Amino acid sequence: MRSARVPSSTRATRALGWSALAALAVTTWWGLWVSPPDVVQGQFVRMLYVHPAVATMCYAGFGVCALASVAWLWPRLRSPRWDRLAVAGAEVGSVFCAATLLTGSIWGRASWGVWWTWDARLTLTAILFALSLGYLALRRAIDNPHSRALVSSMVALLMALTVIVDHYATDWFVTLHQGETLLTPDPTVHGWQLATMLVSFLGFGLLFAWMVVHRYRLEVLEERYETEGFAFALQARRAESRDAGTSGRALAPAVPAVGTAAAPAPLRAAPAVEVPVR
Amino acid sequence: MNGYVLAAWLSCGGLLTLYALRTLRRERALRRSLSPEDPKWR
Repeated sequence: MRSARVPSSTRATRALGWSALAALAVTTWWGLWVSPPDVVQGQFVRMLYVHPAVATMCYAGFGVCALASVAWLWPRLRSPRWDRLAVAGAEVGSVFCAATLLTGSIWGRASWGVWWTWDARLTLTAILFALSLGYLALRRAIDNPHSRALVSSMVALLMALTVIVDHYATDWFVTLHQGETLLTPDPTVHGWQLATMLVSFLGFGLLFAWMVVHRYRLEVLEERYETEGFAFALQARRAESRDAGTSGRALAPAVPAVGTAAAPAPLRAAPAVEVPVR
Repeated sequence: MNGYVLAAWLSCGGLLTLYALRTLRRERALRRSLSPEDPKWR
């Protein structure tokens, strides 16, 4: 009865997913084998092809979340789809934020000799990660969809503010973390390093888009399951009982038979009505 | 290949792969639950 394979993709998401995989494969090949070691950082420069792109996708996730939240807060635009997009952006952003902290911590140990330091950029990224976990926890704690969207929109705006401060932290504070690498008048990377870095941005960007699309769909399915899932489950169990009855197999019925200890017979015959399932 | 470099690449790749697979698995489970009568998923 169990399916061998359930399709969860469309032609567009398959193309997006395969493009992301191809770009990330090129990033891995160029990043680990083709690109030469750096004069200053040596082999550690190979972390440059992961960490900045992942950190940018973390910002992109919280950016999507904030923009969708603003759209939801705007009375003319208000729609459940903005709330779904907001949670999709926040969850994917929090995963990329965790990857940023992991890779950054490893790079810090390799370059600075410590896994962690209370530097402005690092601390703000940790705060951002904590805020994103709080955002996701808050959404689980509130049942009413309107209140959930309203409260989580406020947290999304706070996260967006933290993203802005985090981005400019290397300019505004004295930090160990290096400043801008690419978005400066005179970029500090060239040749293979620059090419590999750009491909890494493309690969992680496509992966980010693929993840947001699938997470958005998951949100739609979860909402549908909340309203229709019970009816489907009941229907499936009834079908199983019916099949077992016709084939003569001994299978416990899904719904206890009326008149048994589990479901005693009613004193009065109940009218046959369809019970609306929510 | 440097150990730190490998650790950074593997931890990042592992985390993102796990999340992608988990999302797909949840999506497939929900689709299956919502369409129990659909023969293409049997």
